[in-house]
Amino acid sequence: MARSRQVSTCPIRLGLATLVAASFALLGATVATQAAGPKKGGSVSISTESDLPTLDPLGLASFSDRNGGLLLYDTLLDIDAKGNVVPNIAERIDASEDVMTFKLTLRSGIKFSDGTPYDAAAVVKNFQRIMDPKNRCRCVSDLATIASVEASGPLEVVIKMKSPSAHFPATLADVAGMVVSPAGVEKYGADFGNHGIGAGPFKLKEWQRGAQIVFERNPDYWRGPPPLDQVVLRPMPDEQTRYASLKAGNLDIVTNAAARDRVDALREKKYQIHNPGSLATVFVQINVSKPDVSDVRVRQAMAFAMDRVALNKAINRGLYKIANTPFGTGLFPHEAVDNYPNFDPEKAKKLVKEYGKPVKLTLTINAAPESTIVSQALQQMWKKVGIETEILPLEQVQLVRTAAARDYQVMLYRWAGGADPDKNVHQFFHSKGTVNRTAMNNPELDKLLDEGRATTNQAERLKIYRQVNNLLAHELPYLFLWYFDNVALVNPAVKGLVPVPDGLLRMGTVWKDQ
Amino acid sequence: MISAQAARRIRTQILTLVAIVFAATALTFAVTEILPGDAAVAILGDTATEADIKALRAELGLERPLVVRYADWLGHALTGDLGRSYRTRESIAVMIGQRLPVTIELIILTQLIALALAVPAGIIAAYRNRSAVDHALGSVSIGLLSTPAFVIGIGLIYTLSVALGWFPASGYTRPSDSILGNLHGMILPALTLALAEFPVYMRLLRADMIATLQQDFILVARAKGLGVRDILVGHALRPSSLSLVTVIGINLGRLVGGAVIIETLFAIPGIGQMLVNAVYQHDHFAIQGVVLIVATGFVLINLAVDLAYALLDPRVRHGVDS
Repeated sequence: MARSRQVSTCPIRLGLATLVAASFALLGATVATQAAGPKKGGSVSISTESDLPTLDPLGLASFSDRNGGLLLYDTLLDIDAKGNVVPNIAERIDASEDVMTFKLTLRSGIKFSDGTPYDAAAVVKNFQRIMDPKNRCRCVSDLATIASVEASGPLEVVIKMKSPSAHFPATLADVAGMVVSPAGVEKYGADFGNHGIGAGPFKLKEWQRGAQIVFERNPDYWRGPPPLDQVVLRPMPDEQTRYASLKAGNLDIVTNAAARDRVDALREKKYQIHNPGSLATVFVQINVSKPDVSDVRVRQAMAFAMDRVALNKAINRGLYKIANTPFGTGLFPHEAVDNYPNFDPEKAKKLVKEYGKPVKLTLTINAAPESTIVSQALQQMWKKVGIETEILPLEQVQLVRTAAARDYQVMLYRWAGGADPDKNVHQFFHSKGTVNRTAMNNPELDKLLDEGRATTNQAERLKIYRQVNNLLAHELPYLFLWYFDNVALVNPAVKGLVPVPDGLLRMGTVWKDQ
Repeated sequence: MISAQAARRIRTQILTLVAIVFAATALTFAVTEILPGDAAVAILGDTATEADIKALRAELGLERPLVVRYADWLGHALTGDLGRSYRTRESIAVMIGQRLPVTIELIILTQLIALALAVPAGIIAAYRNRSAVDHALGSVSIGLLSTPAFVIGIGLIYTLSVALGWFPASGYTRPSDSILGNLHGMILPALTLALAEFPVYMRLLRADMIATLQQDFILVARAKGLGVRDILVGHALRPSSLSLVTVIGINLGRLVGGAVIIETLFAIPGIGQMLVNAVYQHDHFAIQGVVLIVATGFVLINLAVDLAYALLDPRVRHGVDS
């Protein structure tokens, strides 16, 4: 008010005021246009199940770890909403006709957050680092087929394979594609895991162990500065607290939400339910070298006895999709199967009778409440068709060891899945697979799995994996339960989340409407 | 001047301390060994081969006999080196140094809240023995006593933070960032733990106070015409709080157990949460480190409780047997 009085008495001030008013109008206009697009600023907090062990890609493995890795490093290639491998920091990848050689072409002008260039030399160094057995990268099983990696130009890297590897590009959309700054590794040495220098949308601001990791905007991010000022990863071991914290407004994103909380969120209609789909499945895994289950009739009887629809309703409130293949919604051979055995107790009884001997199973499970309920339900279903089951609960780490050592008969298991179909089958079912836990040794399956790696033609690969699915549906080393979707519950103010079936959050373009 | 008797007591206490810490760490080492699964598997993850696991076990020294490994750990621990976490390669001593103050703050706040609630409630219940107030307090304490801490915690989160928005539902702010923010976040977890302690303290004080109020010196005080408040707080409270002090001391150890659950529930980075993670990850040195600290603390607190008796009860101070 005081100013407007002055304005009327002084021409110079009047001019000034007009200028101010005009610039305000202009500002208003910018605000208006911004309202339609991403707003700058703000912080988004994301729950993780446990604190990250390190920020070094060498040690990143769990879902939470990989989410952190994406913030700091981004990836050479990425996958899109449908699960297709797409360019990212590498603007293209070309495969040779025999799928034995790949050429990566990097975008020019990209820098790590410490200002050093992200070039072919850095990528080669990164491959050397993650492939060195001494460094014990958790990603090493993804790199088993690489023969050599060389720079063929300042922005070109040639990767030669030991055997055809159509699955290789998808590998670069995960930990193996998170390239670290060579200068950063040199500078920090063994302490690199506390700093984590990459070319991702964010860089480390502060790590309060056990409490939170704060990431701040990387202004030099190659896609342009991210809208958010900060992303905070908060380790919250308790599932109920995660959802309660979202409800209380202390948290923006709950990852891997429980079915119970999804149902509640659906009812409340207050939160965004971000469902990007899945890459893989929950299943009963069978060691086909063990007594009784070595007979395919027994495995078929077990499959026919499982009322998966009822089980899904009881355990997951019917929210998950029943699985008949090892390929989640984000993989092209998803549900490409001709007849997987569905619930048919009569057929099951007949098969058990045909088998002739009493069937006794030991079902090994992870000693968690949900697995216990699922296993008890399975026990009942199998009992109805004449199969006796004993349940053996183990702690998770021991379960993994038991599976790796094939020291089990039947086991409730899950696999988070890879971005290429090959990663869900080759290593597990090929007779020479590095983690063949089912003791499958089927020449026809081996041949198909190798063929799946030998072509990049998707139509042809689909044909191959359909045959894989059909063979699995007959041989039944896995009895599928459901696809587990990587669902996140999200504060409605968080905008721009892109659904990608691996469930990882691409935060570089996310913004907050506050 | 320290009497010969007191000196002997302190000597015994120190020997007990050494024995308990030794026993606790040896036992934990053995129990961790029995735990199925191992650190190598936890580190390598679920695509590791048997050969990888074997190689890493050898590198971590897990293939050596248990006794050798314990002796090795003990030797290092005596020089102040608690080893490094298998999972994060952090120094265990640093990890504990960061997390212990958080747990200590939680426990102190818990005790303060529990006492702030229990002392007035205990006094009122004793003074108004068998009245409606006494019965009401009795029912509340039975209710709280029979509810597990995590249920109380979830209940408080849903009422005080989700519905009313008074406190954050989870998380931790460092006091160096904001003292108020720190307290704001710590009150709910401390209140949760305190509500579990409250009934014990209240009932204990009430029982002792009822006995004290029947003593002759209270009668004298009344006869002198002192007011109710003077009699209760000035004369009756101190002689009635002996059992309370003992239990507060013992409970400090129990509270560390409570902290394991509450820190996990409220996502607070104390040693309780560290212990839980260490057990999940088979991070032996981290487990050992926490046990060492907790066992030592527990024994020291008991020593302190013994000394506190002397302050509260002249009979102990003057070495008179009652």
